[in-house]
Amino acid sequence: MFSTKEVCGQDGWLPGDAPMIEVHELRKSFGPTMAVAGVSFSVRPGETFGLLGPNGAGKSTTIAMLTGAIAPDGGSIRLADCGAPSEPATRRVIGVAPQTLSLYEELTAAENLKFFGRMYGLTGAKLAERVEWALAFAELSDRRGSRVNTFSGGMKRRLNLAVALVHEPQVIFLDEPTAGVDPQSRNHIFERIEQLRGEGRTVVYTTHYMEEAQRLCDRVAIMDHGKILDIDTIPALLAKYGGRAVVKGELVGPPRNGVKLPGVVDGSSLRFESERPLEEIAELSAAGVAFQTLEVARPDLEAVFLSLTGRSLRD
Amino acid sequence: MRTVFTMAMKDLRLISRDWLGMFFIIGFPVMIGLFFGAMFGSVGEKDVTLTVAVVDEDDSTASRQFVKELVASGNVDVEKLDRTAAMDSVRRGRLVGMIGLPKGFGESTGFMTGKAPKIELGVDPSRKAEGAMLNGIILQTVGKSMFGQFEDPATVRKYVDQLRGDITNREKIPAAVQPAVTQLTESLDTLLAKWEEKIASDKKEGKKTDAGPEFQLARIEKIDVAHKAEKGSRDDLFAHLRSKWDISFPQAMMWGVLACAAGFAITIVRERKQGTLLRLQVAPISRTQIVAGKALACFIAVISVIAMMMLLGTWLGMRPRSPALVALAAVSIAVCFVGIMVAMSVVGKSEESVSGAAWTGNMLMAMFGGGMVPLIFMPAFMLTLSSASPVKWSILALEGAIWRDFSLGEMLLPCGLLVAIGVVFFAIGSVVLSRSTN
Repeated sequence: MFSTKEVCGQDGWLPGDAPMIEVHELRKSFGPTMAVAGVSFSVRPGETFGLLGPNGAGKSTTIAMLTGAIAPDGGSIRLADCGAPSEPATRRVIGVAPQTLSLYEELTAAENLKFFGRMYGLTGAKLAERVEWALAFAELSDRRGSRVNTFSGGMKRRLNLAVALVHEPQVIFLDEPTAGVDPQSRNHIFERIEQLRGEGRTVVYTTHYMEEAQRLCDRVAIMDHGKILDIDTIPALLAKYGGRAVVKGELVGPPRNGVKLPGVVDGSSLRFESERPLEEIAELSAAGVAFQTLEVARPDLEAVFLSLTGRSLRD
Repeated sequence: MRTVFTMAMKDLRLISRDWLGMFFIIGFPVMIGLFFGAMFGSVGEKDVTLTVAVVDEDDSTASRQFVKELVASGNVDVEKLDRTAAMDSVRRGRLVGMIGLPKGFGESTGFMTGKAPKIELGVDPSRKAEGAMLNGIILQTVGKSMFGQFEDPATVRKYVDQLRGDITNREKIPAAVQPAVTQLTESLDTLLAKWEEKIASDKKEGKKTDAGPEFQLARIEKIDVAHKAEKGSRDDLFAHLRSKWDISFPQAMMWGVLACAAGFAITIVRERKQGTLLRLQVAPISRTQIVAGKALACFIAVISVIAMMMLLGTWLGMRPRSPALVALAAVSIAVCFVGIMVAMSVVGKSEESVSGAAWTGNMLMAMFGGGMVPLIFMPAFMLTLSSASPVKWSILALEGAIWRDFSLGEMLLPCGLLVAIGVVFFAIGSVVLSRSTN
């Protein structure tokens, strides 16, 4: 876990005492389009915080404002004790992996890392050490001298992430870091993000893949049309909006002893909803109900999103 | 400053890896310079030389001396070939003619040999006038070689000794004449001794000797029959030219500079499109540093192109009158086109639109500014129009330093204008760039 003292060189902060990121009523418009309409949230130190929403929900614009790439029209952003992201001291502790592969295609992997390391003030032995670390992190040590335009999509994604980390940032913004990569590279990126989590770094992660948010995020903000619809831990969100689990099964035969089946029975098919599906299935089995097939569909963030917006994440 | 320098080095590395971009920055200007320079032909060259083959089959001291004198005349460029190659080169029209020095040339050279040296002359039949000129040059060279013998006391002494021997061996010379002849040879001996003494004395004092007779067939003095050109007129300007590259190289340098400006303008929009500009914007560096990095890279590239073209031009024969003023012109041009580059980078949102707009602008600036038709050949109305183009002031500054013989005061107008244009465009471009990234 990193303290603000380590981050910004200031005293008076203890881990867990104050949020690492504090956002209040953030707004941004592009012409007549309101991209972010009064967003407020806070992120704790060491937390992996997800912004989940469909394309155009305002996630990337929020990240752009949080990192100081664009100026908000209104509202405030504070990163730990460093201040606004436009401050150079704040920027030093921020690492950004943009959604677009932000690399110089004609430079090699090592040249990209060295260049961006220098932009954050790294020099000499420290720079060389961090470049080596970043190449190993991205599993590109053996391709250090290869130009980026010879890399596969997955290798570029890994390097894109490594460039964001070369200066050892304490707060990392990852904007859809797995967009357009194969399952193997995606898994590699997940493992690396879990590694960062384990090191106690604060991560803000945007995605429209609910399974990514479920795997990686401690808390998730559901965003749509530039607004945050709710923020909570995933179990809490599921409990609030996910509804009950759906159990579907094919019965071996009609129930004996006059056992009353829950839900809807259509021939040999059974379908019912339950808040405690496994317990109910166990009770039915004990009562002598035998199943040929059985499927339990638990509520997920897709269901949460559907419940909150009335439409699917993929719409 | 280190950040700005690091960014500039990165941009220079990127542009050096773009082969097409490098062709337009270096290859194309070199082609333009050489092509137009070759087209201008003998502009600025004061003397015309004839290129001939020499077939020296005698290979004697006299034949080698003859070739040396031929080259020293300054009117002939000599290629030493064998007979077959020489005749073939003339037949194909590559050389004006061939001069053959057959065996025995050396033995028949001199006053006491009693026969004229044989020289063969083969001339391209379609170049009769040049052939006649070559004939005259050969006669002049032979004459010079002959008279040259009397400028050397050792050679003259050889002739005197030969004369004395001849007289001594002749039995039919009347007795009354013999004392006079003996007195003549003794007088010649005395004269030669004094001559040799004077040469030795001059040599000891380290000065060039003026002892001995000087022989010339005729003393030809060249007079200037050309009318005096009005100062600033085209003829007056032509009189300042010293090489055919004087016009074509400043013109060619500007094509390299224009390519630099367009190339770096595209890199700004490319950075935005590929997302690296976003990374730079979120790094702890200011937007001023980002723009300054681009500007420094473009500045270095422009200065490098001008320096490289200057070196090439100088190697080919261009002789800049003032290296200091060339440096002043180069810096002014670099400032101007760095500003234009920043302004070009904000005229579009995509690489295609910026590239299209940049090259359209470049073409217009080059067309009206002397990048296509040299300023010296422009009619008056075009010259007036050209004042709106920074390319005109750039070429004028370069030409001022290379051959127009501008003073520092005269350089201030083009250089001052270039810097002013650069500053204004840089300010406009920077403001628009800053707003467009917010």
